[in-house]
Amino acid sequence: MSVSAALYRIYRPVLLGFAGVLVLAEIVFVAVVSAIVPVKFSMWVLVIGSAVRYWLLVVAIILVATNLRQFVTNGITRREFALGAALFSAGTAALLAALMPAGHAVESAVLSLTHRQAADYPSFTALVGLEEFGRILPGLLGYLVSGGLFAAVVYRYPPWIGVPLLIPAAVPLAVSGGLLGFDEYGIPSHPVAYPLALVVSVVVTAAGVAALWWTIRDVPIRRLAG
Amino acid sequence: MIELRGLTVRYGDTVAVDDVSLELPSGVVYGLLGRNGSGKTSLLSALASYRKPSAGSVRVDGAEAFENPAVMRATTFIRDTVDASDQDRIRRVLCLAAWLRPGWDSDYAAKLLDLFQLDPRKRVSALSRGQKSALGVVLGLAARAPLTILDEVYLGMDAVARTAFYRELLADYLAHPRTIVLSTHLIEEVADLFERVIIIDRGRVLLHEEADALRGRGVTVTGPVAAVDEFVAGRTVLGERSLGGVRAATVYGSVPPADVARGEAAGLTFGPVGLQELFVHLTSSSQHLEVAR
Repeated sequence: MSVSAALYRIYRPVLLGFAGVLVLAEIVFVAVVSAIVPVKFSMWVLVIGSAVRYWLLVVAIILVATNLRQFVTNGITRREFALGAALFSAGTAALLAALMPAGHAVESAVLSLTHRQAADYPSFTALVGLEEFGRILPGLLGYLVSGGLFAAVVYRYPPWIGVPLLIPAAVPLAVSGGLLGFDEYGIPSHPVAYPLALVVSVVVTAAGVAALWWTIRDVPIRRLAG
Repeated sequence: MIELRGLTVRYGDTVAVDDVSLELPSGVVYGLLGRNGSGKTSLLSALASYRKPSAGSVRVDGAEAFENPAVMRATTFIRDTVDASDQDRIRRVLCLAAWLRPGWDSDYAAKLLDLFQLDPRKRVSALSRGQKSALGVVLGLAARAPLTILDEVYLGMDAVARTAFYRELLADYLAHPRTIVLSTHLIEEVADLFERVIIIDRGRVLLHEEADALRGRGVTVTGPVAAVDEFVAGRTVLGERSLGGVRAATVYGSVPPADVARGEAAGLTFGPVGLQELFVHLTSSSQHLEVAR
């Protein structure tokens, strides 16, 4: 079985559980808020978008801190693991990114049909959905890379080196989150033009990928205590 | 064939493995012996590609081992701690091995779980020290890897479990011949399994030879106290035990047949020496390095 297929089987129950919690939270929140006042922001884009980012951040940390050792001790090279983990995590990020406009579309349609959509609610259109996907995906990739880097520098280096390195490790997360985020209404924020934000985010994330590979390419597989 | 060429492993200023060169033919059970901190685990970590050598190389069947998929796939290295997440259940740990290990034998793994009375529903964190070691044995043996490395995997196991482990190791080796490297401090318990013995001391190989030849490096002389004392006079005595008027002395070095005949005429009996006694002798002081070589 390939590394990415094995990772998918490991994370499938967790992913399904996480998605179930998100959907349930969305349903409860929208039902409660819309029963009181017309909804003027997209709960799905705003809150769920953040949850997905931090969930992927944690997954990336676990991939490096735990799964790397498990796979190498089962006869997988670091390079094979890195490629398989990249495929798995990028695929998961793309799937979750696709869920953003899909969920927003459903939320927008339901609120419109029930007349609980406020005038300033960010109504869903195909163009809005495309922009959301185009913003959330590079954002998720930045969080993934930073998560991997957080775990890698702590795993590889002693604390006096690893802890200071957490700061540059956070750069992909900070850049992608800052340039490609959403405001408090779930509307894309535009600190700079999207093409520039995308290019800068992709370049910084790619640099993070290179740094991550450099850090784990020959990292010793240390034994656990106890 | 496993070839180590000038293998060196450093941790900062500390040299754990110092310019080790070895040739290990395949299909043999090796005993890797050494005192605490002698560099055994570092050597095995480099052999299993868990750690990149600081210098030198490890080649398996002519191919560089580090990050080589074919070599990695054919190697299993079980340490004294199980390389699994504490939160995982045993079933999940075995599933991952089954997914990734080409030679994994699920039926044999199930049989070993029964043998060591491990409940597959239990989490790793809920296992005792001995049970974790037993899980390591299951992972090591059921992988059926052509190169199986077991580093002090018996820690915490009781005598019954250890005996079962040795029995299974031997039976599975006979049924599925492969290269096994067994690192242990319980030398006398497993000495009979070794075909070749490697002794490492302070990061350097002190000795690498056939177990039988190593046993021939010494003789145990038993008989009346006076006769034994007279016989061992002028020889290197590794140890002595007395009970009543009988004494057993372990002598280092070969004894000429004429001396044996003269000793037997004086009422002495001669037997093989234990590996542990030789190991203690060879590693107890650096002055014996030259004797070993």
